[in-house]
Amino acid sequence: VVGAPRRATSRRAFLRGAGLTVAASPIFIAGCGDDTPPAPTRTGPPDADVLNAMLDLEYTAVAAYRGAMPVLQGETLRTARHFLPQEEAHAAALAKAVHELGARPSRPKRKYPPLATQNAFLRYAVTLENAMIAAYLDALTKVSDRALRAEMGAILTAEAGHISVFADILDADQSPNAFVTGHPS
Amino acid sequence: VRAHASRRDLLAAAGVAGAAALLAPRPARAAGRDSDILLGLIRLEESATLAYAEIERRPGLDRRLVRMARHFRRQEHQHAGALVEAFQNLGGTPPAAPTQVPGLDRALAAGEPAIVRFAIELENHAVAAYHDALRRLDDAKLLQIAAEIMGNEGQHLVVLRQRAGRDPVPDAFEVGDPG
Repeated sequence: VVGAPRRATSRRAFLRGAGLTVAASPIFIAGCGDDTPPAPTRTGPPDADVLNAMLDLEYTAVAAYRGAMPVLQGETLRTARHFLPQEEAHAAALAKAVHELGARPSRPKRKYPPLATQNAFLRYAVTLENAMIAAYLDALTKVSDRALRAEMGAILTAEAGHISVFADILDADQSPNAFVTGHPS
Repeated sequence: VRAHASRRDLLAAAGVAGAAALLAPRPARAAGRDSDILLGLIRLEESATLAYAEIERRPGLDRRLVRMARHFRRQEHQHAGALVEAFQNLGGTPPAAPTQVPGLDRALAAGEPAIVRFAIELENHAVAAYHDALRRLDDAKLLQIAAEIMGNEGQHLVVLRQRAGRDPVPDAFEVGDPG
């Protein structure tokens, strides 16, 4: 991604990109005042590059969910149908945020690995969700925009919830570690 | 009976002077601001630890609910421990542990559905507090710890919502509910 003029991406813009209406939550309102402390100076990749890396992962998740639908059934199918729009919302929000930063959002790749069975999908989905959590943990320390950081935390927590639901399907511990690192022990 | 403890109640019980104390930005130095945020989070975690301990001890509850409370109590305790350590590294003195959690007694008296609703509110408050903290913390290591804990609280929410017959992950963006 070519570096471009950067400007703050608001939570409102971020959620609007995902097709969501910004609720008037007290937390949000509290976070919108002019007295928000300035972001500390950071060195590292531009926010757009960090966001595009996350966008690539979200596209992979969307492709995995879409591609696996024909082989899924029962609770796994219902779960995948529920989570697919959430992954799409993450991708849409990230793409919108990159665009807001004046950069070009990544595009989905043409091909992703096929998932031939439900078990293959479940294994892949858990691995991918964990990889996304690890990546978001790394990314949110690199972005300078404070609203983006919080939104990455919101996505990370949704992904942790996805893992918890898949763990239930797999009859595994739904909350195995007090610290969700994306590297389950 | 609806056992309801607002975020404000919880924060008040934690010794924070109103929810605004945790939420409002402060014109302090970065480390001082991080300390203030950590202090609020420690109090929330200690309240959650106490709440799950009380649920665990309550006689007559379903065994699976007691097991869940024990598991979550240990994890909340771990969260509190990590936050206390970080707080001490910034020169802070850890607060005294809370002795009660507003609304919990009513929930315990009302039975399992009220207890689960209470725990959902507790976890929602926690997720909302961490979501806010991610926007305000300065230190990169603290940001990571906060996000890791926020993810775990989100997993607690999944288990509790399933137990309550609710959608376990209703939103693509889990921001909790400040109450």
